[in-house]
Amino acid sequence: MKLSLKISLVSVAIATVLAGSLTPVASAAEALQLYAALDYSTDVATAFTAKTGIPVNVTALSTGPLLAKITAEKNNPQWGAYWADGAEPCAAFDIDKQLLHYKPKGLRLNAVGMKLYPKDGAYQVPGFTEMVGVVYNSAKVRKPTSWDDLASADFKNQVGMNNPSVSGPTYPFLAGLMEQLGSEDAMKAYLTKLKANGLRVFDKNSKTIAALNTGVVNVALVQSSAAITNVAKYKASPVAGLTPAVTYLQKTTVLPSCLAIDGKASTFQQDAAKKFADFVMTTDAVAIMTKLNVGDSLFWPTISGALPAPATSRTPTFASGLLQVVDSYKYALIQGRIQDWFTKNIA
Amino acid sequence: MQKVEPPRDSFSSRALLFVRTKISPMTLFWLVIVSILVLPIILFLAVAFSPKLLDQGPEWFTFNSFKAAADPYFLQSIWHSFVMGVVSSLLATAIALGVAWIVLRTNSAARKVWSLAIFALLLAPSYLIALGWERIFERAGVLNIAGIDLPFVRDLLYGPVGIAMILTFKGIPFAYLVISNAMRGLGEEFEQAVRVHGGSRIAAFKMMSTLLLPALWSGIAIVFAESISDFGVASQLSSPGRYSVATFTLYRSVMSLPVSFPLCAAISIILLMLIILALFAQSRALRGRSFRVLSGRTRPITRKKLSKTGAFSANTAIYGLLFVTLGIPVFGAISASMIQGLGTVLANYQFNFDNYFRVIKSPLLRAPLLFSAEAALITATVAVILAAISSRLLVSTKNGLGKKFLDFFLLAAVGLPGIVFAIGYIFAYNLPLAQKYGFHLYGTVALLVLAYIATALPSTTRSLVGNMNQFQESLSEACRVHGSNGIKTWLTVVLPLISRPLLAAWCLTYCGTLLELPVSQILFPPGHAPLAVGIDHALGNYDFGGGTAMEVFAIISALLVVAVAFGLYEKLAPIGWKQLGRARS
Amino acid sequence: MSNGHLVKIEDARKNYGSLAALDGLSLTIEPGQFMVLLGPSGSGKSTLIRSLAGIEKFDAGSIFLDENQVNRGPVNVAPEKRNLAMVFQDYALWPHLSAFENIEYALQRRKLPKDISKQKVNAALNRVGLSSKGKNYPHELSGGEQQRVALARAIVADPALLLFDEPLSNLDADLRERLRIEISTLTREIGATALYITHDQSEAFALADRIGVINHGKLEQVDLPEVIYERPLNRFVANFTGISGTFTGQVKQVLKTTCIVALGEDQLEVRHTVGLEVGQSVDVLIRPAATSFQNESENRIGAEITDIAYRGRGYEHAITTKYGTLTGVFDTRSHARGGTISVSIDPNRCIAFPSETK
Repeated sequence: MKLSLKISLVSVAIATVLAGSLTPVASAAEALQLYAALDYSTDVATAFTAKTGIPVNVTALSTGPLLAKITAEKNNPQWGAYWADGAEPCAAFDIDKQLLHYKPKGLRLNAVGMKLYPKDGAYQVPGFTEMVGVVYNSAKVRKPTSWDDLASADFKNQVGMNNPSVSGPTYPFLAGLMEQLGSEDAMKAYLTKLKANGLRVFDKNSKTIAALNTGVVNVALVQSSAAITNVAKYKASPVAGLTPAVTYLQKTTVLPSCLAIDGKASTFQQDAAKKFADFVMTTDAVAIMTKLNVGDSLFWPTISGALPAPATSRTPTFASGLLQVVDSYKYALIQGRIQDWFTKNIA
Repeated sequence: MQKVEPPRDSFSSRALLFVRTKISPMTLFWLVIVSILVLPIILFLAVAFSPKLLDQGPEWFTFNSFKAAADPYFLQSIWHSFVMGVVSSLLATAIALGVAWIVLRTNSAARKVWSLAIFALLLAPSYLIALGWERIFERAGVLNIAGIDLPFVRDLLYGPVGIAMILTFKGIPFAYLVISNAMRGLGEEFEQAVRVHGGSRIAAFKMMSTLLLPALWSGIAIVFAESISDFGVASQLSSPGRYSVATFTLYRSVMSLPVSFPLCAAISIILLMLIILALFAQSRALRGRSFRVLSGRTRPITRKKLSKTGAFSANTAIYGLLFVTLGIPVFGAISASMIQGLGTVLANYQFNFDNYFRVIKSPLLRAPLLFSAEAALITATVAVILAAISSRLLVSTKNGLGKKFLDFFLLAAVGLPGIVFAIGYIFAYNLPLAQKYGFHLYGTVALLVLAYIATALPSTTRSLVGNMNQFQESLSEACRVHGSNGIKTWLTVVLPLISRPLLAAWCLTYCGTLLELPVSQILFPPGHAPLAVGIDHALGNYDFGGGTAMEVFAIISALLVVAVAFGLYEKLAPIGWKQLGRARS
Repeated sequence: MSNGHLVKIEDARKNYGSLAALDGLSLTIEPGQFMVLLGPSGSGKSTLIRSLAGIEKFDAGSIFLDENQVNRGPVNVAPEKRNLAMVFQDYALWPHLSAFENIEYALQRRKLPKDISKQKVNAALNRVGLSSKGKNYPHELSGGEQQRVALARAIVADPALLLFDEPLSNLDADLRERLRIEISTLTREIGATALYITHDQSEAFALADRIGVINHGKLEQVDLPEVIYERPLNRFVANFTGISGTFTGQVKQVLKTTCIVALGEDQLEVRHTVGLEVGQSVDVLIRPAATSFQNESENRIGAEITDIAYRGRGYEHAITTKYGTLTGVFDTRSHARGGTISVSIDPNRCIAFPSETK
């Protein structure tokens, strides 16, 4: 072989080995494994590490892949804590006896917080958003007044919503409809009516919002945080023909964000997760979470004395009478069936 | 005079001989194959029958998952997948054959452009191609902004036609690589034999196509398998209700609570059976014939000089194809990344590079890009070596069990969408028993790279099979009888003779790994997000402009690496390597 | 004084499915001997030579190179350790290496210093008459040139065993003869033991110190070429080593080494190698060398000339007799087609075998 070729082959080999060795390996010190689907999770984790010295490895993904990982790890769970919007997954874990029940030391909840807190501290609920904020292009359609109104002629082919099979926050919306309308069948009847009226389904918040912004639909049923963010964006830079506004209908369902601790994890993970829960359920942590004032930060805190992000004030509180809480345990049991039905009939 | 070493007689030496025979390089190869390919696949598929095996259900043995999979909705989505697979594989292979003939056998001016463009087409993941088309045709997309509204095209795009079209585009490079490698090794004496016996040009073309049958079938099989396991296009272009394909059904069954891996495994098994059909068809078609034509007697081709009209048609065909397959999505992606406020109905749009400037500083881009580039480098190098060995095994006439075994698992790895393959990795590498003995790979970069290698191995292998098929056995026998052992034979003769295809395979693997999404999502170690995860995050945060700009950066960086690799090859490789299959023109 | 291996093959067996390629074959090749295995395709000669090379394995049986056993059951000494070289039917030159590099490759196992190595390669190129073609790649060489490079490659490292797998079958006739001479002289120059397989009997007779006739995985006869030619042990050997024609008749009288066979109106005295009885039906296999138009002998039959071919040195005739056709009847003079003539048969060059039952 020519010398130059030999040299290049050897250098490729060396480069490959170097690349392998330079890639950082997982640190020797044990860390809390946090699976989180919320934007502020990394900031909170950093602050937690600064305060307690316990390192945190944050796996930041959307709810779907996170749940897939957790389920796949079932015979040997690696996660210490799970933190995402939606209580049904946590309820399902708890029904499966997978969670560590824990009540953080010195936990002070406000009135809403006490309503939302699950029995025995199966999981923590630092805050909640709402499903749904009804975003509508006020330049094109009038404000919807009720769920039935959305099925009326005025809103024919105008309405878009998320797909509960893909979007984590969306199943609670269906649960809320079942709760409000009284039964599974009633909810199915309603959604079927909407579908007949031209309902369009999109994968998740971002796509439904995009559909509204591009005029594919004129009413978008999305998570309240996404709704406000979009409205604020266009208030800041107005555009002809697009004036998003948001309204909340009777009833709007509370969507808790939930932090669960893995009951099957190692002692270290459980201890670290407990300390993490202690930290999250404090006003200091809430301050970090709400700092960005957009997207996930726009939630109502449940901790006594914690302040929401300024933009959140545009979403209704319990005082408005619009909100309802659903029994996540009850609805977790039928989630699969409902989502299946939705895919085959509505999507 | 050199002495011959006899096998020794004593017991200890016999044991030593046994040990030496057992831990041969091939044993190491099989060990690697089983760990990265076989184990994850078997464990994943096993939960279809035995959910309790991995705590995924109460039963130790059941057919319930298959009963659930026999739901008409699922069956229809599987049928859709099959149709998409057949259509795209046939179209892609046919187009690739024509293109390969123009590029390799004629003096068409377009051929140099094609050789460069092929990599861009290869490395763009299907979801990016779909995205590019979307950005152009969607409401308030690029065309709309320019004042053009084509609702008819939009409707076609968001349905089976659009899906099949993009899967075909995505498949063309795979088929082209396989076919062109084989065509290079095919001397023109066979076509000349047809002409001197009175056959027309078309008859000569048919003869050439017949001799290329293994490559054609390989192309069809690869594209079929890739198409039915593709997730990116389907998820982009079809909401499940409109034209659901099996991969989307799989995705849903994995991503939504309650996650049902047994159901997912059952559907995967059905998908695999489809692929086995393809494999079976391939072997029937090729049975008993000899296609070994690459040898020292292969003479380089003289390119056909095209007439004026011929040249015009050929060039138009190539440029046209490039425009449609590459030009449109690239235009879509770039223009989308340059328009401020894309994805809205803003009245005045600014074309600028703001997105690019913003993104180049973004932590969402830089660290993931470097991480993915490193991982892709390692993956490409290891995968190519494994693929060379695998492809040699696959074409050997000694029809061992090992060959069938490898063939099946390579195909299974393609047929299983990345996300379920990744879940299989969790099953395989998160076993409590293994952890007890300190063997902990799950959650490490190493496991991610292993998964990348396994994901890349099948298509890389098949892209080399065509060349290996043409490799005359006597060439390596000649090495052995003239004093080279197995490894030296490989390094001095086998690999050099397929050096160009190896290089192409390396680049293909590099690019594919750089932008890989599903496996990355499931297996990346916390704190080391791969590139596609970072891009996905940006897009998820409604930052279409920024996300697209990141994609463009990523692709440019990949193209640079490819250019460097080829440049190094041209500069450093011995003449003897480069002249193989080269045309005289 | 030779440098070659002593090759001993004992009871070699190899099956491909239900087909027995080698059926208990045993063979010894003395050091420095040029052994040719002659047999039709499918006779097992390829399997044998490839197993000797180590690129295939016997199912049972053993191979000894000098006093070393190179195989035991499934365990084989690797080809690269057997100190041999091989010339292939399809030349098997490595396309990415020039002629010089092809030959040099085979020398690497000797681990010689670079300048000596270069010298040897050039000498080998010279020896096969290709000193100006060292830089050429295989596709730039003709078939004959390629095979000569292959030959140079095989001898350059002075191996102890040279194997030839029908190396001339892909060459045209005139090249074949020239290259055959090269092979013959070069092999003997370096003193290696040689095993050469072919289906061409004239090639075999021209090259061999000893010929082994092989059929269906068994050796029919191993001996000097002359013995094979004049005293074939059985019908197959006789048939395969050059027969002009076959007549059928009845044994009238059995003598010591010959017998009288009645063919209708005529009778012929012919040799026999197996025991025959009076009255037995026999086939008389006649060698071309047995036929002549010139000699006046008792052993004569009338014939008609059906074809004549000019061979440079004379003419070969195909003739038809009452009992069958004979080809290759040589004469320096030509005899026109259609003419009648009497052909005499040399009893020493034709052999009678018992007739095969139909």
